[in-house]
Amino acid sequence: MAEEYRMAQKKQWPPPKSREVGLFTDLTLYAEALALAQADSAVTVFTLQRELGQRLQKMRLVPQQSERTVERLVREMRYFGWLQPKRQTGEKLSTAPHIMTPQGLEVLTLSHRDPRAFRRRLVVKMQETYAIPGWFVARLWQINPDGQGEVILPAPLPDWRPSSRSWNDNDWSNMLQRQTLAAARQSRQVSSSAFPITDQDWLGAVRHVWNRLSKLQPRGRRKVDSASYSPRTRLTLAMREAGVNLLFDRIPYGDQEPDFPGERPPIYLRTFMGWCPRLETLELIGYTDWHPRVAGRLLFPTSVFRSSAPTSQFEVLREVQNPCGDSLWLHQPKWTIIRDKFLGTLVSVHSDCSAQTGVLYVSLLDVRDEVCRQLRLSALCFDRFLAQAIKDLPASDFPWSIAVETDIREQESGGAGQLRQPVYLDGVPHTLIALARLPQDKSEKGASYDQQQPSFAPLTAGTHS
Amino acid sequence: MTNSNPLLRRSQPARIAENLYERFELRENPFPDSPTIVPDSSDPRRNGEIYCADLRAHEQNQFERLLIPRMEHENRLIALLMDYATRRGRGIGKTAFLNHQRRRIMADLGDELTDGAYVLLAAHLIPEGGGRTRKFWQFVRLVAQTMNESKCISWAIWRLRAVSGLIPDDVLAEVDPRDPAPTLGNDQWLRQRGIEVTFALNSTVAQRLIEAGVREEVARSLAQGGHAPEDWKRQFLDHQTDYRWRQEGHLLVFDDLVRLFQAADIRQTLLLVDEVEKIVVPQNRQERRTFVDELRRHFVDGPFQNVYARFYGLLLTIHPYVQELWAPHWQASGLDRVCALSGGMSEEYTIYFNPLNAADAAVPLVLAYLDHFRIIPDQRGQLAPFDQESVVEALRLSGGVPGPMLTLLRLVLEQAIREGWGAIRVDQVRTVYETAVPIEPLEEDVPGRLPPARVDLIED
Repeated sequence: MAEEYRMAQKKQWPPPKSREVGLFTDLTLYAEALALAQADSAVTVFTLQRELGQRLQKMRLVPQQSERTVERLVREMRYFGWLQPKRQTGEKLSTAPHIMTPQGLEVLTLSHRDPRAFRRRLVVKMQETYAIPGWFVARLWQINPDGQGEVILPAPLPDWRPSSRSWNDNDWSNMLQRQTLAAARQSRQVSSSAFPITDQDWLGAVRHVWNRLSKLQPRGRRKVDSASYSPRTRLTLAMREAGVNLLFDRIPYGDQEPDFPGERPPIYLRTFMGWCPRLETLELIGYTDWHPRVAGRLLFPTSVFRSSAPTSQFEVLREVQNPCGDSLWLHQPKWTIIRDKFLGTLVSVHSDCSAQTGVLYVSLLDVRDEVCRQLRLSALCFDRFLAQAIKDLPASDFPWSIAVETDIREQESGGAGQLRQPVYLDGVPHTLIALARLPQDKSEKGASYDQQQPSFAPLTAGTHS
Repeated sequence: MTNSNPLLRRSQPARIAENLYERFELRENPFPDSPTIVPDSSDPRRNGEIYCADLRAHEQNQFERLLIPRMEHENRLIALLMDYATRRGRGIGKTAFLNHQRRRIMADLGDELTDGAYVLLAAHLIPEGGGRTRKFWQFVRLVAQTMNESKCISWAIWRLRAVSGLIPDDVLAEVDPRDPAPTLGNDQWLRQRGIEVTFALNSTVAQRLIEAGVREEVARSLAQGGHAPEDWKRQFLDHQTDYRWRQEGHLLVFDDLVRLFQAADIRQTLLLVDEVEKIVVPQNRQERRTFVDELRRHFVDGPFQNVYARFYGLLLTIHPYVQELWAPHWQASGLDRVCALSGGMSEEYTIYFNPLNAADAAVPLVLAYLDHFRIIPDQRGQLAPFDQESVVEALRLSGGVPGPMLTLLRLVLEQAIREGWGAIRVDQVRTVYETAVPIEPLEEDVPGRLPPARVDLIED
């Protein structure tokens, strides 16, 4: 089957209509901008920037969108046919007033009535304009068809904490080489086919990017003689760029045939970093930079190109097709179908996390990422299923209590940790979870969920959120 | 009837407890309850007496190659012992290894190791934490104190006494050559045999040391108290102020004591420094630079007797983070040419300490502990109440790190007693592991494989 999948990818994708993709990742901006366009009859970049409300992006408060972001937003909505210039006078995009099109009005209504359908519409529009969403999913499957599309972009191992170096001290040392190879080795150890690059290619690519970064001037007013840099940060950047260049180039790694006509790569590191959260929100892929066992970024598809699939488990987007004419099917199983697997996986993943950390309450975000990886679910599906699982308790065939908490963990309260999507239950972000087995006759059906799991004292409140 | 008055009530003598482990043919629980080696402890589970040398045979060969002087080649002045498993928690066995090497050397003063060619001594240094060993003078003080406590200095004085010509052969014949402390190290014992200690023996030794170049004050204190570690500590070391250690500590260790050892015909003293991170991590940049500069000066090219005679051999126990912190300063001070800390040549100076392979190492390691506590000697060599699978699993669960495995097995045996288990199988080890709170959280260097996806998006 994997070989068939590989063969099916030989035809080329159509060239994208535009490569000027906005790098904002908060997709609620579209609906809010359309609502403002409807209310004000016409909007400009300036008025949108002023009127778009402050928002919580993941766990970070964004008081105002930058002018550049709003400009990209307007440009994208013009591509999608949702906004159009009020006057056909060739005014600059940044100053021209824009009005909503009938298509825009329809999408706005859809966003209020059915957010899920709105997200699907966004996928279609992005596919028409950029060709990236479908191609990205197909590329993940192409890289690792035997591992259900799981891909790792390695980063330096967590215990490597070198001290800062002066700017001119940038030679490619044995230590850097060792770290680069160790990161690749570890990626292959955790998932054998998720990083299919040879050591030689990997080393060459990382070193090439390292040397390029080393030739750059320090930012701001810092002078080369007095500036310093963090070798870890630079090597992380070099690995990420090398990984994207090798795995997401127009010609698949180890192949001859390009996916797209022309010479330009379909995606650069900068756009890759923007596309990952977008595609995750659109429920096409899942990814995490925080997996406790993986140093680097772990990506996996939550959708697949197929000719047909059972509708009890998949939702089809017929408008998004690969070059062979197969449609994109999103893994959206019904609760009744996935319930047993979901609960079993939840228990086992929580137990693993708990054994690793030695405490009962563990990061809900870590549990979410691993459950989603094992079941190829989107984060939105996870939120929905966890809420449903809690709602169904107590269940005679699931003798466990589930407790979730809203405390912000230290890891998520600052830095890059703020950019992790929390788990939303009833609109409230949650970050901690504990599962405890209730005292019950093990001979009942529920015993199958907790084979080899430790027995914890029951939580006092049973379930609460 | 006991007196209940808290001023007068006496502790009751401990009752002889029933040996709960008798049904497993064991005198007591053979596995240690302490996570570290305490060399001075009388408990064989804690003092490193139980040691399975075969498991670290490769490392031991490297140790001998790098640090033991031989006729045919010169040993390294400085070498490194690199721990590659710090993220798996403590207990990889470095301290036990160093302690074992010290015991081996001190057992016959390096006779067997050097094929009778040289006389060697060894001291196992454990720096104090909390930044109390981050200055070089503090390190020097630690060297002096440890060489005294581990009887290196006493051995030198005993040897000088033995060859002084003032102790008759028949008295020398009474001395146990493997442990002269109760005889040559005991002034009272010598006096009882008619030897004038204060005005004859000590004066002769002092004179010999002064002739060898030891400063007079130090020579006299060594002659009077050096034969007994407690005496010399009380009479000399405890009187040295911090100021004096800063000003003259290096002269004591790198001149006077080296001359003492040479006068006693000792070829080399190995300084086995454990937990170097306690020195390096609290240091700031300047202190790191100064420290490695001082290392170079006192071990490689400074005006000291130690440098002229290539006397001390230094083994530093490090891990990758320490390597990273020290590397720029190490290179800047030129120590890389003496002992490469990083880069391709570092392998020529480094003993690598890796986690154990569970399948090969678990059984001999567990047998070493069980055998030591068997009630009936005939039972030695048997794993009961464990089986091979259960002990291999215990080491695997502990990430190949022996310390946590021994803790785990101790808990398993305790639970076996409580629950009345007849034999211990792999499931029981897993059960205890999952509830074993005292073991540090496992954070793997080599992480386990991720579980495969539980769905198939192509086939489902």
